[in-house]
Formats: sequence, structure tokens, C-alpha cells
Amino acid sequence: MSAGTAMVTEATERDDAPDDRSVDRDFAAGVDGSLERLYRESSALVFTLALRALGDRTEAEDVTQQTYVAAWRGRDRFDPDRGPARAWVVGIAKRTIADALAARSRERRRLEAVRDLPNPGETDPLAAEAERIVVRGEVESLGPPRSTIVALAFFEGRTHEQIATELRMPLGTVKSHLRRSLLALRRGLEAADASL
Amino acid sequence: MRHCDDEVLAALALGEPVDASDAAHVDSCETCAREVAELRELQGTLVDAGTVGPLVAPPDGVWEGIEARVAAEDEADDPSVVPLTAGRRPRRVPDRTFAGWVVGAAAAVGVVIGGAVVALALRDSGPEQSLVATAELADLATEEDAGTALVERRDDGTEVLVIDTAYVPAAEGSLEVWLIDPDVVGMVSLGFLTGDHAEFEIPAGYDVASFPIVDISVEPADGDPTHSGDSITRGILEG
Repeated sequence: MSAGTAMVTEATERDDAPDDRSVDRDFAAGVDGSLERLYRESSALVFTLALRALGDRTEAEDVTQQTYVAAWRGRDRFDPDRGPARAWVVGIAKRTIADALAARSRERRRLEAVRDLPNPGETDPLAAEAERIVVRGEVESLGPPRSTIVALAFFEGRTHEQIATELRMPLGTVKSHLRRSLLALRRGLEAADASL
Repeated sequence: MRHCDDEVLAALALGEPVDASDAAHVDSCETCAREVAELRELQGTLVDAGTVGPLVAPPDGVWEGIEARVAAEDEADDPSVVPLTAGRRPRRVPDRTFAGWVVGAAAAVGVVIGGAVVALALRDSGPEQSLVATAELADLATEEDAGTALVERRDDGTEVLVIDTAYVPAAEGSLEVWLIDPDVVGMVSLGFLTGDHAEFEIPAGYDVASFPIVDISVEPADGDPTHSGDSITRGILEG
């Protein structure tokens, strides 16, 4: 094992709260209430993905419901060692959204059967959008104050000094949060990729 | 060679000053330099993510709907009920959405291969029956009318699915009749269709409200008890 790997392990222990992953283990075991916990921490991400892709609130609500019902049904297939349940749910959501879009285009093809429209699904602008939403979801999952600090620094373009003033926090603390947030986000996004 | 601490790499990526020895190490170490580059790239990803706006929480009703559906299912998991998945290996799930009633079944013509008839012989002499639900069946290939299905309740409480359809033997197997849930995930086989008129007793624990889709599939004689994914006819039971 290289020194680099050892440090990653160390950073993991430092940045993750001890029970950070308990929702994942509970969910895999089908513990009562774990679906609701998972829903609370990830439904805004799932709903936003669906809303952006489908552009329709009712359909997005439908997809969100289907996603969590399917997740609960399929929880036997979720392996907490491969990554967080949140990322796994995002994978289910993406497939459910793709199904809804496919159904829609089949419907459109049926209606416009005569005109053979080119398939618009090949280069997918939605995929890039979805990735941005997933990144936002990772940022929110950092929890306060880090989610706020990262949002101010990167989404709002504030300087570290401005953030320190706004949050009445020592500048060193802001910087330290940013460093750890970057490392946590990198791990989170890697895990998100791994569990899809 | 000792690599830099992650926090040092993050500091460099954020443009903060670090110890001269750390800076010198990163200059000469490909691994650490790459990590710094990745963390810089991540910042670009973050700035980019800022353009999509904040996440939107779903309205409260969404969770209530999930809770209700999950609760209904857990109830259906009662051990006295035949589990839908027990002993079945995963196979192609029939088409997932109703909009996608386009299922390959063009060649539903040919010779019928035996196929055990599980339909119960409930003829006119049977006990008094009351109508529970009806469905218009549609041919999935042509979307044309393909007869009717109805569910009757007998005096003893058992329910029977009655199918009337223009029976065409399948070239490559038998026609199997299923009840499927709205998500096209849970399903139960009722038996094989071998004529224009057939009646199937619905097993206890399955009700039309939870399994409202009547589905007829072409099943190859391969010994696999799961749905082939080759649906040719469908309808939705409505009470």
C-alpha cells in the first residue's frame, strides 16, 4: 500500500462522522424508517434531476415515487460497501427518468408516425445537466456549515474573506472547511460514480 | 518517498501558501501533482454546478405516496401468499411502461404446443358470481381490440378471471396469462390460454386493485417459470 492510499484512509476517518453511513447499512438491512431517512437526505436531488429532465412537476413527482419504491423493493441488490445508498438511488432515478423519456418519445413517434424524426437522444445535454445536479447534491450532503461555505465560494463566487465576514467565522476556519470539503466532495463523487 | 498530506494538496489546489518542502515535493512528484490538478478541476466542476440553481424539494405528498405503496407491499408479503419472486431467476421484465405497448409479437401465428391447461373448469353450472372488474384487451402489436377480461367473485369469495379473446396459437410457445402490478414488477401467472374462452382462479392474496394488468405472453417451452417479456395482449382491469 502506498503512502498516498494510507492518507486517503486517514482523511476518510477524519472527515466522516462516525455514523455517516448508518443509513446505508440500515437501508440494506431493511430497517424500519431507513427508507424515510434515505428519502429525507436524497429526495431533493432525485426530484430536481427528474424535474430538469422531464420539465413537468407531476411527472417528476411520479418518477420520484417510483424511484424510492423501486429502491425499497430492490434493496437486496444494494451493497453498502460499494458506495452510499444515495448514489445508488440516483442511479435508479436516472434509469426511471430515461424510461419516462423513452415512453414519451415512443408516444411522440406514435403520434407523428409519418414523419420520421431523428432520434434526439444520442448526444445528451441532459446528462451534463444531471451531473451538475448530482454535484449540487453532493455539496448539500456536506451539511452546514460546509455546504454553505462551498455554495458561497463556488456557486456565488465570494472570496474567502467575504465568506468569513458573512458567516462571522475566522478566515482560517473558512479555509480549513474548504480544504476538507474539496476532499470530501472528491470522495463523494467518486463513490457516486462507483455505485452507478 | 513520503507524499503530501491531502490537506496540503487541497490547500495548493485552492491557491493557498504551503510549506516550501511540500511545494518542492509536489513539483517533483507526479502523483501529488496529479491530485492537485484533480482538485483544481473539481473546483471548475463546482463552479459549473452553480449554474443549475439550487435543488428543489419534492412536495410532501410524494413521501406519503411512497409510504403508502411500500406499506401495501409489505402487507402483501404475508407468508401465506405465494411470493412473486421466490425461486425465480431474474429475466427480462415485460415492457415497463404502458406507453410502450409495442412488444415484439408479430409472429403470433402457427401451431400450438400442448401446454398444460391450468384453467379451472368453471362453467355455467358454477355458483352464483358477481362482477368485480372488467378490462378491454388490446393487441400490443396492432393496438387493436382483442376481446375482454373480467373478474368475477364467487359465493365462496374466490375470484375468477374470465378471458374472451380471439385465440391464435403462438408459433414459438404457449400463451400464458398473468396479472401484473402497475409498476410491472410484481406478477402472478394464472395459467395457459388454449382457446377463445378461458377462466382462471385468482390465487388468494392477489387482488385486482394491486394487480390490475391482464397480460398474455408468449412463453417458450424452456422450463423457465418467469415471464418471457414477450407480451402480446394487455388490458387494465377497472372495477
